[in-house]
Amino acid sequence: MNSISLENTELIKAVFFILLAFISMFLILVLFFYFSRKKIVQIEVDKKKLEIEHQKQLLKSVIVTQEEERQRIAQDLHDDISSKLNVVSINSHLLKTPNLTKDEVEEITNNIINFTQNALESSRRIAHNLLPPVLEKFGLNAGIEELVEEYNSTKKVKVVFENTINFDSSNIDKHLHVFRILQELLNNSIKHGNATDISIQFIKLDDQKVCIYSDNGLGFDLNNTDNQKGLGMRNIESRISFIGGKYSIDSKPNGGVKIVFNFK
Amino acid sequence: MFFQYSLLETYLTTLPIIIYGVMHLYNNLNEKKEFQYANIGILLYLFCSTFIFLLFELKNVFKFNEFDNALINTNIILQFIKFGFFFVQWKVIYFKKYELN
Repeated sequence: MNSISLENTELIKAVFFILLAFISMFLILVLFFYFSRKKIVQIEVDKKKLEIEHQKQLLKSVIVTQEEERQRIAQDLHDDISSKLNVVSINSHLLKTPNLTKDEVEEITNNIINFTQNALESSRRIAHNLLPPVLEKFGLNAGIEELVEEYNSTKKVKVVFENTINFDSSNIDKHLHVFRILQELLNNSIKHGNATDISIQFIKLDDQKVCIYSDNGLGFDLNNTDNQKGLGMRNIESRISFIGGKYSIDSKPNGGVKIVFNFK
Repeated sequence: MFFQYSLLETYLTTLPIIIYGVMHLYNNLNEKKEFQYANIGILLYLFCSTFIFLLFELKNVFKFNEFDNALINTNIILQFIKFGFFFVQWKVIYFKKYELN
């Protein structure tokens, strides 16, 4: 009798502990999966928020650039063309004055011709700066060649341009972005980097077009966030994302800059 | 008392380790997976072995002596699986060190 009751208590004890173990482990697993799911979702949400923030900043930089560009065009028009047309208008009024000698009329007409020619030249230059006709007519290769020549003609900087890709003229929108990126990069290298040697290289790598840009300028510290948040760099970034590419920057102080980006 | 097979002791020794292991797994969810394989090995082994130790007592009560070897062998196999995980962990750490050097 005693042994049976002893066995019973042991049996109850064993079953009790097994049940306890089952319940506690089940509880641990359920809690673990519940909380881990929550944590993973939270992390995903944070990631998306960061992405949205980044997009917002890109958009903001696009708007700011647009405003700046407008301001620049307005300034160009005002300083270059309006002032010259003003002089032309004053000279034309002078022609109306009575009793002018032949020489005076000659001088005034010469002035008018000169200033209209200047104004024409200015308007051509402004239009050219806005959208180079070469790029539109002869494609990216010719456009960049012209840009490089322009920089080389200043004798302050030596730009080497190598291209092994035959650009398709149907992709002119993307090519304009590439052109603008290079324009901005060249501008940065000379304005901020004081570079004297710049190389632009286009190569094809398994269906992807890759542009390698490098200069020997001052360079900058990649870890310093101030350098990465500049308007120019952000513009380049948004343009590269427009053409569906990726980019990488390699630079260190006094070590030049090397930028590689790809596009299709 | 000291020489008795204690169920409470089995339960109390394994459960804190399991809780600690699960907490470690949770903390490492999206970060660097430190000692991940070893942790999973320990958890897997402890989850199963706790029941084996508890069932051992049940077996004693019912005197199912033919299960003796089966239970012990299962435990041994689980041990080896755990050591397998430890080995993988060692390999990961070793090659990481090798890369650093």
